[in-house]
Formats: sequence, C-alpha cells, structure tokens
Amino acid sequence: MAYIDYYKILGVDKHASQDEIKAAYRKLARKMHPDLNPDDKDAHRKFQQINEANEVLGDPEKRKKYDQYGEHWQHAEDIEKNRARQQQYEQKGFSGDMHEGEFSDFFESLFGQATGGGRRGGNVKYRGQDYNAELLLGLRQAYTTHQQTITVNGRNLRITIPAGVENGQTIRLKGQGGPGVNGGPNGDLYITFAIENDLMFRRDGNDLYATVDLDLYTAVLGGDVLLDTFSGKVKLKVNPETQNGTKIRLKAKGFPLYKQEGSFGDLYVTYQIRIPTALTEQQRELFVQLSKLQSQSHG
Amino acid sequence: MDEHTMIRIEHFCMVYDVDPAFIHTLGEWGMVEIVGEDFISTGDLDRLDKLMRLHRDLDLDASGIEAVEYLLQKISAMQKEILNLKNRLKIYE
Repeated sequence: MAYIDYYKILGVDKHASQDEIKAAYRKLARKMHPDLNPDDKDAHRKFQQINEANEVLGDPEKRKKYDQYGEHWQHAEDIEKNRARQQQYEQKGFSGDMHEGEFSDFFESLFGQATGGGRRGGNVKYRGQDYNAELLLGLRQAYTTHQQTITVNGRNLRITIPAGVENGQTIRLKGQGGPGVNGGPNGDLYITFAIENDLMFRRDGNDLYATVDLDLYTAVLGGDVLLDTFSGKVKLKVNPETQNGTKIRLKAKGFPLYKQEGSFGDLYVTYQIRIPTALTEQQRELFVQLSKLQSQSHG
Repeated sequence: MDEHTMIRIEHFCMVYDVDPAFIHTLGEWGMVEIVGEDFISTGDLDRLDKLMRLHRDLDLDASGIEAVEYLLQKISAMQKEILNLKNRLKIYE
C-alpha cells in the first residue's frame, strides 16, 4: 500500500483553501470525467483518483486527519484498523453495499471503508461501474453467429456474437458490469470487437474482396475455377480471353449484414493472371509460333 | 406506454437526492420526456443516470448538460466516421 499525495493529484498547495481545492477538483473532473471520456480507461482511473482526493481534501474533517497522519499513515493504520473493525462490527450486514474497489487501500486504511458519506450521501442508490472489454475475432469467426466464453473481472460470461460485427463495433450487455451501490442497478459491460485481417479476403462494410490467381491458359481459353469462400466452395466460370485485373461480382456472397438474417453483401473477385515460367523447349517454340501468328494477323 | 413503465419524478428525485425542479428543467430543455405532470419513463433511466452524474460530479446546470450532450454526440459521430474510414483503409494494408 503506497502513500497517496492527494494534494499532488489535485495539483494544489498544502495550504490551499477549500475553495481552491473545489476549483481544482472541478477543473480536473471536467477533463477526466468517464462520461466525457467513454472509451478512455486511463481517464476513468484518473477520475477515481481525483474523486478520492476530493473526498478527503474537500471534507475539512478528513483533510485534517489526512494532514495529521497522511505521510505517516502506517502509524495511523493500527489505530484506525481497530476503529474500522469496531464500525464493521456495528454495521455488519451493510458491507455488501459498499463502493467495492472505488477507493484505494490507502483511503480505506485512513478512513475505513467508504460508506457513501460526504457528497455521496445517505441511502442514495448508484448504478454500478460500466466495464469495457476488447474481444479479438478472426474475419471467419465474425462471419457466423456463435457463442464464446469471455472472462471479465474474474467472471466467466457466455455471450452470443451476432454474425456481421464490424471491427471497432461495441455492443452493450446490460447489467453485466459492476454491482450497483445501495441497491442501485448493475453497470453495463461494453465489448468492443477487434477483427483481424484475413489472408484471403478483405472486408469493406458488408462486401468482401478477393484476388484469384488464373493461369494463362484458362484466361485465354476460358474454364472453371474453384473459390473457397466462408460459406463453401464456389465455382467461377471464366470467360475466354479474360484480361488481367478483370473484376467480377458475386451477388450475396459477401459478409452477412449485422442482425439482418439472410442478408449478405457482395463478393468482388479480381483475376490475377499468372504467366507460365520454366518453359520447356517445346512450349517456348509454340509461344514463338503464336507470336509470329499474332504479328502476321496484325501485319 | 403503459403504467408499469412510468416512475414518479418525486420518487426518482428521492433516490438520486436531486431537486424535482431540476428534472422539470431538463424536461423543458427537451432532454427528458415528462409524461403527464410528474412522471418519467423507466426507459429514460439510463440516460437520466448519466445526466445526474454530469450534474452532480461536474456541477453542470441544464444548459451545460445540453452543451456536453451535443458535443458528445458530435464526437461519437466523428469517431464512427473515423472507424469506417480506418476499416476501409484496412483493405489496402
């Protein structure tokens, strides 16, 4: 347990007036408030520190005690532990309603467990803390609705991930966040998906893009090519004299639309023609003949 | 909306330790729908909870909260746009 310099956290002098402390708290709270920084875990943590500093320095009685014991809190701890134990004994049955994890160990060693005093008065019900988590998915996983077990704050949760989630998309699981205070509702759990790129397919919204290699002979003469998509193999009919870079669209073979069962984007396939290498003498001779024929027909 | 989805402003204010006049001001500013004379919908509770936090923690009045809400919506729209653009850029990575 480390000593916490609440004056430093609020950026005020040890002789600062209550008004100066209030002003410093307001200034920092406006900057770091979790509602103003919804996706910033660091801001959330800093806001808790600022809040804790204000709980102590904003209350003349607590501030006096902090000033008295603060730097030598180890000595105060023994005295206060006895007092806290006595209080806990008297308040037995209420401990489950306290701000779990909201205040530091240092705070609790000096002032006992936070009982919702000060600004957070009496029996006011508070919603529990919102939790944020990130879940990494492969593109192939995001293609189908599936269930996955995740661990958040030591608790295992089995969640259903709907097909078609996007990279960076956040879903809310109501009531799966921190427990409420004084009978208030639980907070929510926000899960943000990070979707990895796939080697074969690129995604743009609900459309997929793929590049398919085509040998020269199929490109010239036409034929069939098998493409392995997320929904199975698809036979592509290649037209004779297909040019390099030709793009075709496969309707509804793209990515599923989020929460719109049965609706899919399109799949765009670009042909990349591979020129044969390591030709045999005979093959080379035939290409020479072709070349001559080409010159004659254009001559 | 049926009766079960309503909560008395008086009750809400008791729980949140806030002056009912403040909720009525939020109603006048269009940030919460006040049904009848003194009811709010339970469907608005999540939103109201956030407004109460802004009011209590940052000492904001109704106009301040409205300004913050407006800017947060703007930021959220911009973040979505950035995300869409980033996702499109991934195609070329």
